[in-house]
Amino acid sequence: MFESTKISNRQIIFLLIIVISSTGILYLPTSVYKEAKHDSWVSVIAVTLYGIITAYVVVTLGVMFKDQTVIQYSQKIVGRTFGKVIGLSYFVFFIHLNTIVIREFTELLQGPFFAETPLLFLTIGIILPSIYALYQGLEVFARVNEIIFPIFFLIVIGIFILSYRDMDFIKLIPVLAEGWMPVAKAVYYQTTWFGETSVLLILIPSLNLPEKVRRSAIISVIFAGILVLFSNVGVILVFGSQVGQLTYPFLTLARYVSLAETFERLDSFVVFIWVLGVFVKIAILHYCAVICFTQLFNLKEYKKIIIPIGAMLVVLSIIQWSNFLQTMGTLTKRLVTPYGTMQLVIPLILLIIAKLRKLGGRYE
Amino acid sequence: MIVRLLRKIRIFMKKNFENNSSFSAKSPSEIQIAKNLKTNLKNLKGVFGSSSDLNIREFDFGINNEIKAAVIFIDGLVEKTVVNENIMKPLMIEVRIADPTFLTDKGNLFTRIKKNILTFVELVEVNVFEEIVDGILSGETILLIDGYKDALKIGNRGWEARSIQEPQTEVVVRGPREGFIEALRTNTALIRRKIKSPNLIFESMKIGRVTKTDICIAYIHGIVNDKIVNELKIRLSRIDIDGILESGYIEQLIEDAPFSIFPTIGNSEKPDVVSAKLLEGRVAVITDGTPIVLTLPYIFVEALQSSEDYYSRLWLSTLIRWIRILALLTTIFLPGVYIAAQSYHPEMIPTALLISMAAAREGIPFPAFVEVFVLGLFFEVLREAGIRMPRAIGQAVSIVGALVLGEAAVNAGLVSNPVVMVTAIAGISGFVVPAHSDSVTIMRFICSILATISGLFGIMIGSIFMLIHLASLRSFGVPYLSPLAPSILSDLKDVAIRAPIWAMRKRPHLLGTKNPERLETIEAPHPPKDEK
Repeated sequence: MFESTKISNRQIIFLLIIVISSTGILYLPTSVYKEAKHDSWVSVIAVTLYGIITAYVVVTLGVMFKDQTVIQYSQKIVGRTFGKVIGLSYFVFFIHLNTIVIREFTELLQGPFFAETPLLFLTIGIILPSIYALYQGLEVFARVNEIIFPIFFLIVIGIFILSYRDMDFIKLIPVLAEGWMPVAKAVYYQTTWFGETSVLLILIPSLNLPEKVRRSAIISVIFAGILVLFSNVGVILVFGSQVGQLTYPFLTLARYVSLAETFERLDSFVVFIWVLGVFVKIAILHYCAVICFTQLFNLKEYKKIIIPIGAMLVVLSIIQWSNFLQTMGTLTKRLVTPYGTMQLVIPLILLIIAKLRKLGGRYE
Repeated sequence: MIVRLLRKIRIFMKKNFENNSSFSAKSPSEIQIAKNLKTNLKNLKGVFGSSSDLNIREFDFGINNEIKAAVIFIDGLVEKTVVNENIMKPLMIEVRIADPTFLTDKGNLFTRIKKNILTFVELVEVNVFEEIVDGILSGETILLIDGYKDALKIGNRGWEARSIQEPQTEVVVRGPREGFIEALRTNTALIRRKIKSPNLIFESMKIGRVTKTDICIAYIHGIVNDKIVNELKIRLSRIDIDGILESGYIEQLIEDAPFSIFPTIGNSEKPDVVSAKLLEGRVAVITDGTPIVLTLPYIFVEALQSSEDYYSRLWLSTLIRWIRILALLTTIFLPGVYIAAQSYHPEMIPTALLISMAAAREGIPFPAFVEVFVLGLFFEVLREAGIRMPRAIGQAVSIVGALVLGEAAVNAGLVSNPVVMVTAIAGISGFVVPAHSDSVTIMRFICSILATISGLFGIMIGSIFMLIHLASLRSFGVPYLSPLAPSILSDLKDVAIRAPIWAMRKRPHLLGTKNPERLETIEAPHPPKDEK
């Protein structure tokens, strides 16, 4: 009781799992299946390893400067000008990633459920709770996630278990029939999600035990990997080669499930529970962008720019793309390398330079 | 935002009404008691004015009737027979019969009266005039003797009080039946009878410039977290109000989130409930004049726990816990989900059910949300009428209400059967968790409005707002949603399940108690090992 306004390790694990898997479960199976076919589960395991490496780099760097965010210590490591450039690029990165998340999800809602509702309404609807959450602070928000996470987790596992009747394990054979290339390509597409532990670059100063965050980050990547694996394997076992044609295979799986032959078409129910999970992701990225901006321009209080950045997210998420396919195209084709740069390469370079210049505290 | 606005208004008001703020009840200044009895009585009459319940009885005693004295008390607040038999009779008659010279020496007269004649346990010597007035007002008898600068304050309070009854609000099947009453001392005694420990502390204070209401803080020293007690004392000392008529006044003046729809201070009418909370490390505030005792800190899940959970065996208690959670969710979300499913997501409803619902709605002139709203409002009207109206009319109203809302409205084709069911189920579920029954009503209406605007999406957005709000609340430093968020695994044994009594070894961790051990060892009761 009476704990500080910092967040605990359990809370950060829950947050990271939701950040990676809430959208990963929805969008990954299709694009991965298109490349790796029924070997996609191999690619999920491989990309989890990538995620662990990213988490390791990000955390090692972050803990060396555990009272600062990447915006602050990058200026120490590579000098003021380059540091500002790196900071600005992280601001752009968090904003852009968030606009994609928002757009993807509002498209998902609009498609089957609100065909006549303007996208703007849904976008504002999902950004408002995020703004309110940021006003209440990260600690409150981490607590909200402690309620949301179990619900989310039970739904994913529940749907996987309930669809056991339609599963056919033959569909996973043969393993690696076409060699490693397709799997490697699939891994490449998924790196964007599993590199999202990069939010720790901003969040580490808000943790109450930054020394222990390496373990938490790796646990959460593995956990998220398991959840994504479940959804991947689940849809392949049930739908086989049709997965490539489904936009949201996991939702189709949910529709397939019937509970006691009375509750059918659970997909709409699942989508609305998903609002909770996606809200967490949006709010975390929103928070990161706000903190980036505050520290980049040395503002005193971050609360004043929550609404302007929220408005920016709304506008950008709507004007950037004209339809859903374009959004997904941006995400899975053009942006993988730039995102990978932000998530792994820059932290790695910063880490190496910091080690060479012997900056920062030692990691115990 | 509202808080900021109100603060501005308050500052504005302060500026404008600065002159008025010195207004207070006429209070006698800090003056000593005069030697002369006549002056004292004149002063008293000046303070009390022409109040008819003030009783001043002047009399003489001593061997030649040379000593003048007076007893002063408020009629109805003291036991008059005691004044007759134990104050006036010994002084005026019994002393003469036994030893007429006993009171001749003026030097030790006062001490002799105090030590040898007046047979009272509560007897205090006072010399400040204000203390006399306070004493009279709180039901004590004052004995003034001419020629002495001291007065005797005699505690023989006795007024009409309700007897201890079973509380109407917290009815139990198994468990003690007694409830608190309006008298503070009786209430503290009821708690003391349950917790016979010198560590149970009752600290008294008076709040209210005019009413001077007695308040009592109760806690168990060694279990309670001192920070909470100190914080409570600071908040209580900040109260500056003319009157406290019920513990609700105090609740609203010290609560953490005055604008929240959720209560952050609990209350109970039963000594066993309050005792259990004290044993968990909470603090109770007992107010004179009301049977409702406040307990704090208060967290969300406390509403899901009832005293009976602990008295009956664990399986049913655990099941009931889950039913309460289900009822809480039902009463908030059911009407909203019904509207959303009807107007936005008909595909969610199983086909057979959808057909029968459509058949029921055949010929209904209103959209679903109008039906739900009107019926929901009528339910609240009926509920309010049911509480306020005299018992005798009650039956008539409930029959008319049931007929009009149920049968007639459906037969007339104004509302459909499913809506009547939805409203009734949601309304009744709201009473399963009485502590939150007012907040869930508000949430139910908000949820229906959001569902009308944008279906399930609106409900989810509303729920997120509600969750954030709940997570941001604190009650005396304890997060409102704990032990769910922040999750404290060891405390969940009393939330999702009701663990066996012998397995609940630790007191709730979230209160930060100094002495967390409740039981010595965890050991399930079992028959003797050698018995076969």
